[in-house]
Amino acid sequence: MEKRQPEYFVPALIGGALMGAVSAIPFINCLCCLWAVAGAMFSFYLLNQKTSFPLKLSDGLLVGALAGVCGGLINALLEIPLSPINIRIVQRYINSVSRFMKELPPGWEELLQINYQGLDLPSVLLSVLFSSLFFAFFGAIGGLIGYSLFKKEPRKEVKDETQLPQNPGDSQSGF
Amino acid sequence: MRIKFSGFFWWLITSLTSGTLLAGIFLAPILPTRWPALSAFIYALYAPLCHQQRSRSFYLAGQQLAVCSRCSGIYAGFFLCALFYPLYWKKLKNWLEQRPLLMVFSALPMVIDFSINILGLWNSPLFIKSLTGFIWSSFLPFYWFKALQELGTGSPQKRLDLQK
Repeated sequence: MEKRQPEYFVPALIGGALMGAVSAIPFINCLCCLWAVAGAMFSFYLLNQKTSFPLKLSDGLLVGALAGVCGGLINALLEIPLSPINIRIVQRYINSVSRFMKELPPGWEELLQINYQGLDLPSVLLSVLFSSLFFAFFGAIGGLIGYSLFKKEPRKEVKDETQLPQNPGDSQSGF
Repeated sequence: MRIKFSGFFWWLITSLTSGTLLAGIFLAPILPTRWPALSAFIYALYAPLCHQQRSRSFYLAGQQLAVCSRCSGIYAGFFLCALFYPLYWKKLKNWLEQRPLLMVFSALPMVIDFSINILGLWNSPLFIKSLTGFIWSSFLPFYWFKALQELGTGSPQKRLDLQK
């Protein structure tokens, strides 16, 4: 019997790119792990669309985790150019808010004094590694949830009620 | 060749990983006095997956935890439920595993609380935020382990039951 194996890579890459990119955008990333979970759910949805046979719960876990790894890598790479921009956006936001509010959360002044320090290779590699681990964890959860929402029910075999004639000659209408 | 992992192996790996992730949340606020760089690194690790707003976080030793109260609940719920997974009643596990949509329904308290907060109808206390996260994530290990067992043994029938 032929062993059927779904192709995880392309759906995982698409879902991972989505979760990694959205999680890196300031203000949109305020929804915590939602984007990681949603990206992995989307990966499972794509995999389900692409695959002709019913998928298993473990397929959800695998495609979600793989999407998480891709998402973590993409997020960490996007963070490199976005970090100085993010700091500037947050500082500008706090500056404008401070004009209208009398009381701001403790520590807001420290945020205004932060300067972009640049990056060193070991910390980038470590953050890529851990970021992938975090995203893989939440991605796997997203893949499981994707399975619960989008899974195909196994097709029930329909009984063929038209009986084949035992003798080929029987099916031909006689004159 | 296919390597087969036992249920105990997956339980150990899951408990260790989720325990480490949970420990990191509490480690970050303890470290700044001795190792400020390490503490900042831990905060940065959790940053892509949490907004880390001060007003929505629990505090330890005068510093905020590495994630917000809801995320703290999510990490704690997953870890605790995974840790005690072998002790749960087998019938309960079977019942839950047959109903994967519970992963979605268990998120409803979290979604409702989030919606009420974002609409400005109510500013729920941190404990409620944490509890809604805890409720959702405590359902997840049942499906997590089922999926891992499908992967490890190729059969979803072999279950992790240390109480036998």
